[in-house]
Amino acid sequence: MLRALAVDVGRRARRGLAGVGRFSRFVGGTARAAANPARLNPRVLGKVLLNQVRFSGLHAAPLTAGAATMIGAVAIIQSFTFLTGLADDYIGSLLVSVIIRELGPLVTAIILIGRSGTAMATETGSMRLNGEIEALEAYRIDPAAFIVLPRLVGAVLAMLALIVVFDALGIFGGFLVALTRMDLSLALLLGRVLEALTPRDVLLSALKAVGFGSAIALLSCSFGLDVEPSPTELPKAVTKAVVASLASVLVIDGVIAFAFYL
Amino acid sequence: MTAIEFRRVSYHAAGRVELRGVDFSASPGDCIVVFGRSGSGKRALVKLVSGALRPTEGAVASGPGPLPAGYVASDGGLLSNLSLLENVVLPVVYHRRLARPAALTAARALLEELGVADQADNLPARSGVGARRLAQVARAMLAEPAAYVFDEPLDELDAAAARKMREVLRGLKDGRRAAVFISTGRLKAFLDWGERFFLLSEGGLTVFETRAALLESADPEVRLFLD
Repeated sequence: MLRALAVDVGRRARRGLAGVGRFSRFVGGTARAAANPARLNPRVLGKVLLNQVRFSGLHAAPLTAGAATMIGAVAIIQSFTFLTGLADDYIGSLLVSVIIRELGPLVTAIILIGRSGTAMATETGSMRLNGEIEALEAYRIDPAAFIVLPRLVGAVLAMLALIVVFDALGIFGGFLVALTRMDLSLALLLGRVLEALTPRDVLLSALKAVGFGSAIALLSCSFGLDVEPSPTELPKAVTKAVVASLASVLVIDGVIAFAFYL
Repeated sequence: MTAIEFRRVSYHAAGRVELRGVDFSASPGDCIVVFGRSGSGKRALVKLVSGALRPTEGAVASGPGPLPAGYVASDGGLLSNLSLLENVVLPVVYHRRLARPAALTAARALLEELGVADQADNLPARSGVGARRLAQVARAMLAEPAAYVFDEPLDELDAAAARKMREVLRGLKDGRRAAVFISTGRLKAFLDWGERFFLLSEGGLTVFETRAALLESADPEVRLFLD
């Protein structure tokens, strides 16, 4: 029984390490493609990138805006429950800490995983199963350059834009709730938020956008392109991509919080 | 000039040896029929020729230019989110062999010649299997490669598309500007086409340099396909 358990753990560890090795090679291949601009065709890749930004950014904006307004409102409602005397002096700091530093990047990343990460893993997995990747390779079109790179850049740009949307609407949602308890104008609230906001907050938000967007795009494309040659493997690859993306986002978020805010 | 050369090429996939120590070379004008049972390794061989796969051991050397082989898969092989026309121009535009307007004009002319111009703007999923395969042929022809690789070229085609495909193969063979590889599990259908014949059996390659040598062979594996 104990031996079987040890064998199972060993097998899983070996598989996990092999996966890490495969992913490292995948990231290396993408980095090599990015570092060789002479072999990239900006006109062809620009179209793929534009589609990616449109799908991951523009089409996700309404969902992000709705989620941000609700979360901003709920954050302030919950604050009222334990900070009975919440003054307008503190509301700015509260919104910066909760929305801009943490929830903005994190919830946006979860939306990106749910909408775009799953789409990337499914699309790239289907391309592998349908022989589309082999056709690209046969014509010397590097999938790292043609498939992965535009999705990576698109996911990062979409993350940056969606975080701005989330932060703005999150503050607005908080403002709407605060109006019920305080004599507050939007200009005053924005003033308080800007007072509490430091350049470091903006920089770290951007850093999270780059880290989260890159991790989601790379993991989703990697699991999709590595799918085993059977249609029943595609849903498994998508599930693995989602789990790995969520885990990596939480790890990156934790590392940044420990490194810069502790 | 050599269009393609295999030097001690082996290919392993999922712990299975699909090709073992394969050596051969092909010149422009060669028409090679690759045959063997299912799972014999012929698909791995044509994918290695096309560049869609890389050898596990050994080396594959191909002719000059960025697009040494034009690959026509039996199914799939076209990007599903691009129209047939966009698929045809993608390699030459991506590698800057042709400017996009010139490539589109040339691609439309090729699709017209192949009889599928009316489906040029359709996505692959909205086109028939014949149109999809002929679009792959147009893509390969536009790239002007040193070798053409056809995987089961006549499978699932209707009579009109099959006739067009035979015309294409005849034209490429007679043109003698590139090597032509035809992979098939039905040797008799391509007996008159081939000048050299490659038998794949359990990953090993046997080369018959002439049709006469193939027809005279007593190899039971060959007889299985001929008798």
